[in-house]
Amino acid sequence: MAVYPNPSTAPYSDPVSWEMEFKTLRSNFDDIGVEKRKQKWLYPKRNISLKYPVITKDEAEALYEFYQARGGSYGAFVWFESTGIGAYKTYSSEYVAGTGTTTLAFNLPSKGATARTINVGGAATATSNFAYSSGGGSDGEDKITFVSSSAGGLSAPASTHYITYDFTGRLKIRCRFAEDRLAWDNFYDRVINTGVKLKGLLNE
Amino acid sequence: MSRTYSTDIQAQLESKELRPFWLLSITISGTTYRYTDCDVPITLTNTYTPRGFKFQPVKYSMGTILDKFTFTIDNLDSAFSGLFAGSTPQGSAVTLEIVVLDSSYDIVDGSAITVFEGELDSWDLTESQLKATVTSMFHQWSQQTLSKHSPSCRWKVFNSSTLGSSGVDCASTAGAAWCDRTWARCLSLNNSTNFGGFRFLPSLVDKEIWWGKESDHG
Repeated sequence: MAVYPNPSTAPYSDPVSWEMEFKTLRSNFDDIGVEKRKQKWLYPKRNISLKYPVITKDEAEALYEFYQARGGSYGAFVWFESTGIGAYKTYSSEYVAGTGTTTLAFNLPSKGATARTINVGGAATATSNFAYSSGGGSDGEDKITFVSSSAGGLSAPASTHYITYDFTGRLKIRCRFAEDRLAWDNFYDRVINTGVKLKGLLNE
Repeated sequence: MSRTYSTDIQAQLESKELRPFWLLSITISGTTYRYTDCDVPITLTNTYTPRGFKFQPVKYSMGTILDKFTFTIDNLDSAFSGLFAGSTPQGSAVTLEIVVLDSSYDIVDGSAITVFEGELDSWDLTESQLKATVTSMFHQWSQQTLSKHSPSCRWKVFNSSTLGSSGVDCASTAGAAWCDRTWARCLSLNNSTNFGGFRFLPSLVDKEIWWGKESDHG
């Protein structure tokens, strides 16, 4: 998967503008003052708006070429939070993998994480159960490989449990461009003034 | 007949904040496809993968024997195009279930509640979605039989290519040149096991039939 090309000399506005998106159904029969809520997404999606107040025209063109190469909103890519700017942040219960998989290697939603805890089924698992590789993932993100059960490790940890991750580092967000139609002057204006909108997807 | 939920599931469903998710299973030509409307996979005995779907009200009624529900499922990846357009999925088993997750995202009670079981009836396929109607298996009660009950054999003569009462229609291997579809001829061909008629019907047509040991008119 492609990685968003952060301009080397022009950082985006810090703090970055992003929104956390959840999905909740609420009871239609709340006239009596009692409301019920149903959670439709177990994990949030993050929508981002990237703004570069001091970007050069060449750098903006490079971003526009990236937008073209993705086919507008068609192609997904990876964006790493706080690339080159700002301090690392701490995140908890970030989604790594769902149930039903028997693989042992997983890309993590982080890059260069320092403090890190892997949770299997909501409980922290011992660090002896996995090997950590900084930047070893397919898109430059961090990666873990569980020790196989034959070598004394866990037996297919994601077969029945969700794997989540607590860490301090750069957050990886899988996303796509929010729009299919963007003229160059419009794109350039957004890059500098209002921000280019990225639609967050579930990490894989 | 009423249905009993476990107390754990009942407690979760009655709480003000709940996490129930639908599970949809479709079995076509011996392969079961399992989907959930959750954003991540859910695993019971099998794994249900995320796929957008919604359904119209599940209809049960005392006034009709034909209970049904209609669902619409995402087909943007054309996953169903080959399965449906290239085959005859009518009659395929479809099950709609619901699971409830607790705060740790584990399945409460480790089981699903079946909301509807039925067979695939009609369907509409577009580029982006599949819409299908599932009817209760009881719909077979309302089917009209097209078979004619005649005293003579109804199988095609000396045809053994299609399934009949004992595996084949007429399994005669006598090599005879003719058959008049009578019981006597079938006996002579040593093929009475596969006789396809109701040979006692003529004797019953005018016969008075009563329940019990003796006739009141006798």
